[in-house]
Amino acid sequence: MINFDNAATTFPKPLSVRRAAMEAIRNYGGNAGRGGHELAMRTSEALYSARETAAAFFGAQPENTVFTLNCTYALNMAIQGVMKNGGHLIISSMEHNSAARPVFTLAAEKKITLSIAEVFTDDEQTVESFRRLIRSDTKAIVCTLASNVTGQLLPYREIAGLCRENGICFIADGAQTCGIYDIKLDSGINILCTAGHKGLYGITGTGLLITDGSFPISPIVQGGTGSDSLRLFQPEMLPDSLESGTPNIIGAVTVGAGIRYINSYGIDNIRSHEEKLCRLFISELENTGDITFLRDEKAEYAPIVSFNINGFSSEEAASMLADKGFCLRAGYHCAALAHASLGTKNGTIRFAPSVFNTETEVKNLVYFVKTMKNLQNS
Amino acid sequence: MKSTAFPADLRNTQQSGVILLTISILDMPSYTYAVKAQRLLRSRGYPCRIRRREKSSDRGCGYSVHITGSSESPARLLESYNIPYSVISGGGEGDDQL
Repeated sequence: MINFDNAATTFPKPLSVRRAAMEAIRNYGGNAGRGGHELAMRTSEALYSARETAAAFFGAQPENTVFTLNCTYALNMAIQGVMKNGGHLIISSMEHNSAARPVFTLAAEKKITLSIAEVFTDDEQTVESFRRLIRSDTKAIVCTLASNVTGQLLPYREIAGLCRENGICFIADGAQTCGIYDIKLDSGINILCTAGHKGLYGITGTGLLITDGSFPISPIVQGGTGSDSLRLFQPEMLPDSLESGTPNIIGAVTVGAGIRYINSYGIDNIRSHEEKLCRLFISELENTGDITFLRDEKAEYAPIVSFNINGFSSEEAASMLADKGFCLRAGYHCAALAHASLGTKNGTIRFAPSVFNTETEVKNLVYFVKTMKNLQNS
Repeated sequence: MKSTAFPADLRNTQQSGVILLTISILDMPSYTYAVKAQRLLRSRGYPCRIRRREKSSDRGCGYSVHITGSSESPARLLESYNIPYSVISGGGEGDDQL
């Protein structure tokens, strides 16, 4: 089995991450921040170390680095927490449902007003489409850093600049970029939401919400935090205010280990490797005439390639490849807006390598894609 | 024993040949801030440890940082790093022995 579905979740995980998970199960069986005995204290210390590692990786403070279940939870917490008192919000036309669904729900309930900024392959046009939608009551812009469908990188620094000029909160979805690009809060992102189990190589059930603290985030979940227990209202201080209930301590430890792995391998080396595999995949298939790639030379792309094979639906093609042992995600990738914007009514197949894939694996995939259309001699 | 064997701001009291090291207790708003404070203080040479909040408090459970010696300069250090705290015990004579 060869996994090219790493945009959904990376697999395999680095050995150091697997070891960290085992160590956490073995040694960190207490409840972090909820006791003074040895087991609780060493578990708390392990959680803090993971938090500190993640904070340093994104240029944030540890207390502003919140562990969540996944990127979807982080986005929901950020969107609902910032927009609690209403206002106008702008999202891009490339958003994943994890951002689109909460904002459409809030808009349908008339709690917020919503605008959708069209994303173009030309960055200036994209920035302009955001700029045109900004109003006096615009409170936040939610924008992915890279489309989870095509991998197209959005001009987030420029969008962050728009937010800064207008006092707007910039909530960024880094699910497809964190661990591949060096994303830091000083780029102008106010709240960065990301998965821990994708490019950061932690286990599933992990995510991060990282804030610069400039926009308050009202908690959408309240409960035990281990702090100020006699008070019947949620503590206001981060990270406790956004971390109710026992956290996924083992998961957080693996995220810390994943980030250390990235630091040791080199984030530029990881990106370079994955980009090389994407170039190889495209170059081997682009002249066959039967493959449509969702790429435009004007745009830049994260190491994700969305494509279709003429004569097959995306699901049919992925199913045939799965029979040969290749794992690729087909369909709509939980991104209704993006597919509507791209006009891909039958969805696409997504090729998403990780640091662990090899050129040989890509060539094997290419061979079977060609076989599907009897293109092996082309 | 000579008091000069200890850091300058470490007050000690000789009683019957036994050195009593005074400790200061800073109450922290969360475990996260307690570790952040502990790491900062230790990196600047202040011996300290995190303890569960022991005395009953209106706020309930929490953590405190116990520092060997006076709280004065450690507290200033925490303030300079925007780490919130409140002084429970400033390290005067008669405080608990560490």
